[in-house]
Amino acid sequence: MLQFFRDHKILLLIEIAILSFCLLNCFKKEKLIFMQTGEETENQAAGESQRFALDPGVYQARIHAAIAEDADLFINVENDGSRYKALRCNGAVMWGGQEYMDFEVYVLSRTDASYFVWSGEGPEGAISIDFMELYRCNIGERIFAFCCLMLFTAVNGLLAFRKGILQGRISKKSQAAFWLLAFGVFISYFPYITDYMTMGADAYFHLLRIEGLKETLLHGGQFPVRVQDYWLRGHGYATSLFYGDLFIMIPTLLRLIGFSIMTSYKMFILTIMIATAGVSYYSFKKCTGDVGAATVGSLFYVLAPYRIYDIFNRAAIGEALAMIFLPLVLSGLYRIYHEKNADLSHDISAQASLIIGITGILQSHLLTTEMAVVGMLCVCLIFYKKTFRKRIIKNLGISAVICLLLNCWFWLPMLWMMRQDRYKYNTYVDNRIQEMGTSLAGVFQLYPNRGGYQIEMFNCEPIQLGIAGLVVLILFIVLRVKRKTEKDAWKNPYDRILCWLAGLTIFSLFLSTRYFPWDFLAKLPVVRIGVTSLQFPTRFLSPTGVFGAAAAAFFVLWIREERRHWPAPYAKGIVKGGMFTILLLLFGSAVYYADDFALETAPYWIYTAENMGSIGIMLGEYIPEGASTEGMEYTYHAPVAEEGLEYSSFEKNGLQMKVYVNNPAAQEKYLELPVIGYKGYGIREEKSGTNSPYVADTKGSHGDLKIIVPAGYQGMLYISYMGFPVFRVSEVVSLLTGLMVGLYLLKWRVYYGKKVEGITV
Amino acid sequence: MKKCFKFAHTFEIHLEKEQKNVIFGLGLIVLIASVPFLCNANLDSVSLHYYMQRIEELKIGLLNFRFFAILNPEWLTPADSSESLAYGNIFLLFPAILRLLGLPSIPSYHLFGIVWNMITAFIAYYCFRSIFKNKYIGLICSGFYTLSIFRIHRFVVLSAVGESCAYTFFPLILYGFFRAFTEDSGQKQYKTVWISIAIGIGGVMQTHFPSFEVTCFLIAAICLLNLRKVTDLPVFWELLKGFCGAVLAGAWSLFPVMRNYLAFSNGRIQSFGLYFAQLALHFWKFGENTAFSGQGMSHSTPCGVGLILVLGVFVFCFLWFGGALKGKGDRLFFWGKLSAVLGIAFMWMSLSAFPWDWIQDRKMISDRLISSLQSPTVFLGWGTFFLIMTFGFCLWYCAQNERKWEYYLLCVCFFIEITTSSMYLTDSIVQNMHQTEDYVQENCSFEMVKMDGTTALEEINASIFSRS
Repeated sequence: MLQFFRDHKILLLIEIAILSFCLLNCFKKEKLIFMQTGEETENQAAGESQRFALDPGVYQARIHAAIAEDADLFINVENDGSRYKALRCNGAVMWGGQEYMDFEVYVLSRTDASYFVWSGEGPEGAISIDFMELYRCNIGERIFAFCCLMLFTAVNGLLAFRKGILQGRISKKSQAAFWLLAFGVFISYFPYITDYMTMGADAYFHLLRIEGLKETLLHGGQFPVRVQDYWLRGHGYATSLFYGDLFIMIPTLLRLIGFSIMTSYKMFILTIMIATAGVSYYSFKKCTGDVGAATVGSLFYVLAPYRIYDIFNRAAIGEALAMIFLPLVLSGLYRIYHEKNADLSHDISAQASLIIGITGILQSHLLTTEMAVVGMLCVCLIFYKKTFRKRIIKNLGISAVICLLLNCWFWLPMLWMMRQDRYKYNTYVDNRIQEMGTSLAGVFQLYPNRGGYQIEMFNCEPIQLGIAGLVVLILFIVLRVKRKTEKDAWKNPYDRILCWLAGLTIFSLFLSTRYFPWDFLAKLPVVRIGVTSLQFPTRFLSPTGVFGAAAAAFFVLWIREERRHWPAPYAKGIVKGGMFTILLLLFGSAVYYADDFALETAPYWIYTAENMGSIGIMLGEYIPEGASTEGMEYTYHAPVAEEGLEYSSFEKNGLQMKVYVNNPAAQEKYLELPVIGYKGYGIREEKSGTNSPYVADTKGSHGDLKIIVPAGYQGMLYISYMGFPVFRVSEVVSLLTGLMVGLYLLKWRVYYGKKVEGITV
Repeated sequence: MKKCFKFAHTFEIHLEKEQKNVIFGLGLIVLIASVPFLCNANLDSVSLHYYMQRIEELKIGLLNFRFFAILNPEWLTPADSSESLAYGNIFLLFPAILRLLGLPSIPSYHLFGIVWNMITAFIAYYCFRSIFKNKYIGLICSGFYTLSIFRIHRFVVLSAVGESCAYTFFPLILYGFFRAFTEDSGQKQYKTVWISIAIGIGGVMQTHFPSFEVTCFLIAAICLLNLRKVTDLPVFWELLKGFCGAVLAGAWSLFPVMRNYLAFSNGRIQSFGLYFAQLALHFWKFGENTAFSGQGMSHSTPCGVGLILVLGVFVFCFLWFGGALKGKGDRLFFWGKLSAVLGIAFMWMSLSAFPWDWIQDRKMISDRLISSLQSPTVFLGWGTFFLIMTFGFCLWYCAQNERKWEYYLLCVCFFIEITTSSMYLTDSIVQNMHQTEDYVQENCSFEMVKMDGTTALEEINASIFSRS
């Protein structure tokens, strides 16, 4: 590292100078560029403002208006003529009851004639614009600084990589692995090498998660966030409690820097692609010890049809995130059970893989966690003789305990909340999933189209293992059986592991089909819960993908051993040609799918997050019972007081509210606040007394939070989502566990002079 | 009988095995490229109607002994009137003569297409073979060139005959410059360098003026990068002879076109640029969407360079990055690097991400020069050429360094490109062709209209009937 600094002094100085200049610019004050008052708009329901010029940069439009309950107002910033996509903004709608809105306007080239344009719907006099302003913020400078940082990191990385090559420290095989994986990532990310995105089935939901997390963090009051305040027009949605937000922090941070929602999402998808390639390569390298085998396995995983389908067709980001970590879990388990060359550093590395793997899956997608945990339990049971050996049980035990403690901050509050209340998902009784499984014909798809349907073969989506994986399995089975029937058959050291991986691939593939008796299992008690929660059996293509990729990696080693015993003079050529054909099928199939997806999918340009609205809760699984799952029923509204109760000075900032109440009556009165009544809200008084208001057990209309004000009470109340004491305990436990693990690893490195295998501290 | 065989033997052409393979290969390339012309149907593109009527105009001109007929500037196209003045007609004489001989319009056009494919394949083979001094590399590059996605798009999908014809001459220009800068100027054959430059530049000038504009800038850039060589008198003389020869030979069409070419602005072009994903698409299908800024890539028209050529750049970067090309003195290494850089540059210039609007706003002359290009995709012609040069260089490098497996791998990539990309596209195109009646019949779906209101169809019919 120091040598790199010495060799590139001038370049680094230039980079530091540019970054310093950029960072200084990030603290510029915002500047008002344009303002138009209500009088100037003549309170017209539709119209355009005066023209104004905008230099390149990022601006924030701020609108103050009074919108009646049965009206809405669409506002946008547009420009006349000018250069190609110089101004990028979708505009947004202000709904009834909303008094303020802001959104970003991205200007890439100077525009000479930009303007506000608005149009409202509603009865006469229902809309009154107080004023609209346009501020130039330092968002553009922040984005520029971040882009410079990323560019310089990439350039320095490539220079260091090249130096390593020229000095002979990086072998040709490693170089080939890097470039092949880069090409694989390029192919898998291909449909997004544009200036737009596509709306997969769940895209709307995940975009709202990102925006919701960003808004909640900006409003303060919760960290980690449990209930996001942005959803359902400020009523909040407990998505963070039930769906891990740890990795959603990446696009959220990009949003906080100032990138548009679409750019943040696409950059996040690219991060997922790169992480999948890197993590799977690392995992398979640890298992096989061979660069070539790891590269092949990693390519199989990166280009797996189901994974790409998950990202683009379904936009199932949680599942795609979880798939990053599945190879780590497999690698950890394999190394714990495979005791060759086992020592303390090997054990720590294997435990770390397992812990990080399970943590990653748990923080990404609960259903995949369910499958992974059940799968691991099955492995432990099948290999029960090995499981109860001292070393292995110790490794598994330590991994399980650390995993549980490290993730305590997530799973404990989630289970606690599940016990506190009933939610929409509790009402899912009968969920026949067998018909959602894949057909046998789909297993042999060579050219997977983008498709449009999950069920049956008509216009089907590419929900499969992939032709390359199938060819590997068939080749293995045929060659293995052929050898077994020969006289003096010898033993290939990779026979056993490859048999297991092939078997697991085929079994998990079978689980994903309509031929597995899921409907029968859905009738059995206890098992029914797990089956129902799966939603569709095609989720088993996640483990199929990782087993198939691992099988492909070990196949490379297996076939090399086989080749040594082949009498043919061109054995090496046949194997190379065969592997090339398999890789050709893999790439060809992935390229076909990526191309078809790019040519057949409608584009969406989403620059303005506010344009999406906030009611996209999909099925509303995390809505408490009693609250409506119809997003349109939620409006911006003031608190609703029971007759006789007075309130004033109501202010709301996300889920943090303050209100002055006065109950002159002789009995308790309730006040309904415009947030969903999740358990965990708390009230803080300005001056505490003996008789304090409290949160009611029942909920208000459409599930709103209800607080009870005692008779004769008056005072300022501060209501916010506080969670429960168990939340704080779980967070402390996780923090302490993380610190202790970190200190242990540091101690290991410092005092024993050994770099822990695979973990650089 | 023996005398007959002896007679036949005197006309036998003795070819080596390599030569036979090359001829067979070129024949196959031409056959595949000509598949869309082997039927009595065509894509119903605007440019097709335009060129068909130009052919008719030429035919009428020949009947009236007007050999150098330029399209009457009073004819208007739906786009703008400058387009009708931007091309010479010399290469359309062949289909016009076929029309004179009595062949119907579409078969004349198709026969012209097949012959032009042959010319393109041969010129490309000749130039690439001479640059890389390897017949098979020449054949592969010729295959890439003749069956490139860009060429199929221009020639078959858009029927942009002028641009496709100009594309044919690009290899000659680069070959001439390659010879000028790499050969020994003291040798006798050096005095023939100017010929390929003159034919190349002349061909481009006579067929598609926007391509000529791009070519001029490219020549300026190449000369700047080889300034030391250019200032060498023999080199400069050959280049000057070539350029002047082209200009003088084409003066009859050049000056009338130049008069109107930069007369006014055609508007902004950046919105017609591509996405990078379109450059690297492999399984292209026929599509009609050109409004990428509104419809994205959905059902996009097949305009790109193809994944395999982009992969070629990847391979080149792998070699360059890994130090394999470091410190090598062979001039071909310089041209390999130059081709990669220019290929990437031209690809970038064809994208909507390139700031064309900003450049147009700088000065009036840049506005005129850029707007006359009509679309940034015009850069893909040269871009495709340089990417093929890069791929050819990678092949040459592997052959020279006995990297057998890598060489065969690249050959397989070529095979994949032809069978799964070019042929996939031509199949898709053929399946979208409509039966098109002869253009002198009444069901012509588009008519060019003269300023006084008479249609081209009426005028052509009138001239035909007056001769009968």
